[in-house]
Amino acid sequence: MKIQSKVTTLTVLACLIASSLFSYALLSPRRTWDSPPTLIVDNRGIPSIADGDLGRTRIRNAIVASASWNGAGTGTRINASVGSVGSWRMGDGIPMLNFRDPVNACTGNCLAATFTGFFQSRGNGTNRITDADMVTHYNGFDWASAGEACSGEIFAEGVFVHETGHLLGLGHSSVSGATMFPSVAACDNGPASLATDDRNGINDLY
Amino acid sequence: MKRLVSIGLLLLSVAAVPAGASTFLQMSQKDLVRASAAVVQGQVLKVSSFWEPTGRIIVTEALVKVEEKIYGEAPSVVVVRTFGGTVGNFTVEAHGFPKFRANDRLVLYLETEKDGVTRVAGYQQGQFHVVRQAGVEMAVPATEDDASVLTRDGRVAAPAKAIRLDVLKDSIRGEARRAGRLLEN
Repeated sequence: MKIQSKVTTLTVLACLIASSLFSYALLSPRRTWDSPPTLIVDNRGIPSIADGDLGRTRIRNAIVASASWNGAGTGTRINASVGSVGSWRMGDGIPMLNFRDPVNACTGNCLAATFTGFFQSRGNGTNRITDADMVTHYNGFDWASAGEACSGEIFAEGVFVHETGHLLGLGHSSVSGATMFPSVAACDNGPASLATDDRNGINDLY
Repeated sequence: MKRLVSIGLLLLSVAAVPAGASTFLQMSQKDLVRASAAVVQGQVLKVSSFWEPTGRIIVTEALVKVEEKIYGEAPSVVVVRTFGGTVGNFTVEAHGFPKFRANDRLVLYLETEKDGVTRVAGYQQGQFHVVRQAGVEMAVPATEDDASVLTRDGRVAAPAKAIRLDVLKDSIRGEARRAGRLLEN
């Protein structure tokens, strides 16, 4: 009986330790890209970003930076370029970050939305992501770019590195300070740089 | 219907940023009622998904048989549209958007968009599943983990809890009265 009790205790402890180690979450069902996608970043930019480039190049650079998903130890995970998103469409295999909302999906109390699509065709219990697209309710925010003076604005780089994590198949992390934690303070660009938990998550996926 | 929530003012007051598969501001009962043309209890008869006419995204329409108008005007069968769904072997997941399955029993806060389409006000915050637990009908929030719901000061909102269906209805009617809305019951 005592042995049983000890085993139970050890099992519970092991579960607690394991749960604290694996605080990231994967989108359900689990899904991955076959090869690194190329994200098109809306070349219209965000008007409130005053870096002279409407933030588009800085956002693109943050997404592919070595501090982000491409430096997590699994090689290149995402490519990105600034371009036209006029053809934004789910299912075309071209992931796009559209700072506007061409389908009027994210209105009212919606601030940002990511749409994912996938085929369940691998046959081994995993799913292949074929497309994912993002829209924002951009005109309600005071956005800024890291490096600008900040007085309560939102740093775009961190937000879109986080959204790119979803595009790659990650859900939310319970670790405060992780890129995939579900909120971030104004003037905080911390999410643009991955935390250990984020690297663990992407290494689990890929 | 013109949205009653002043998004600009709400967002200016947000001190932390959205970061989620989809991110929404938390809506109070008052916000939801004021954003809705009607609130109904009903059962989903049929669900169908299709590419919207521009071909950009899949939408899903649910035919909902209205069993009770909690407040406001609604036809006996209402067509409610949401983003996301499956057509053929292609699925568009719209994280945090309302989802429907045939035979679901629901409470829905309904709003009509400029294009005449009826949607759920407040996204998943305006959708409750009606389930019987221990002989009591409960209204269970439809919110899911892959959407962030933030409070107006930017914090992650506490998950909504299931409440007794009659308590939810009383709360809705109370807010509707305060808002000067038509009550059907």
